[in-house]
Amino acid sequence: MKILVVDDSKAMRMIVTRTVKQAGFSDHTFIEAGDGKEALEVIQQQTPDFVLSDWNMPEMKGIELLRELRSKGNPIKFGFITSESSPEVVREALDAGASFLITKPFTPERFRNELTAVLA
Amino acid sequence: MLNTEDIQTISNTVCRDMLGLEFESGEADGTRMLSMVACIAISGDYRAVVEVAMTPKAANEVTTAMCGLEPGEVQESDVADSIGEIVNIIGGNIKGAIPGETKLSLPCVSLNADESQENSSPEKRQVFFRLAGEPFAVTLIPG
Repeated sequence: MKILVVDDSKAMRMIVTRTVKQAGFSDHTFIEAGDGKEALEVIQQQTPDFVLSDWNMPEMKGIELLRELRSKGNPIKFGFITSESSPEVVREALDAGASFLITKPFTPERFRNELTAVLA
Repeated sequence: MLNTEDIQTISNTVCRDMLGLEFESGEADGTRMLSMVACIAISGDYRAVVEVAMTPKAANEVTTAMCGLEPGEVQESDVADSIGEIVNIIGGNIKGAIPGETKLSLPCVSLNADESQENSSPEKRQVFFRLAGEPFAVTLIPG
């Protein structure tokens, strides 16, 4: 399975990838994008199976990326990883079609729980 | 309004879970320049700026832990990225603890900040830590 990690922070992309691997998903292929706009191009070119995206990014936010994908009929599985943890943000994410929202700081266990349910 | 204990708890949790580092409680140390600074703004029903400030050595510790780099491999861009992400996470968690509708800005980083420009608002909440023996401050400035 190919997982796209979207975050404008290179450090955070590294941490997310490392933590997902620690959660037991090290056999998957990880690809990256620095914002929503770049993610759209990567999704078109490399057809990942799953997107793990930050919320707050320059150019195109994570929620805008998800809405753009759904408006084009792309049903790719999508989860948010964000420091935004308010109930409004969680509701907005789920309403737009996200499978889950993981709040930073996170643990491998949190990824294991969410990804196991979604990828099953 | 969050108090200094709330800010201390949030900051400790972020650094322990994201970096695998433990902060020790510290106090203001006027002899050390906290020249590496990252800020983020909260706007909406509540307005404030969250700032993290640290010495270059502490910033290096954060960066090596965050990026999984060896100390000699750290570039300035890695430091800016890492401390920007730390303030983003601390700011996001502070935002989550505040009632009402608020938004978080993108982080802003300075690797050569002038401490003489420090905000002196009486409402600011500031906590000091030690990270690998180096001073590190987290400040919430309402306004």
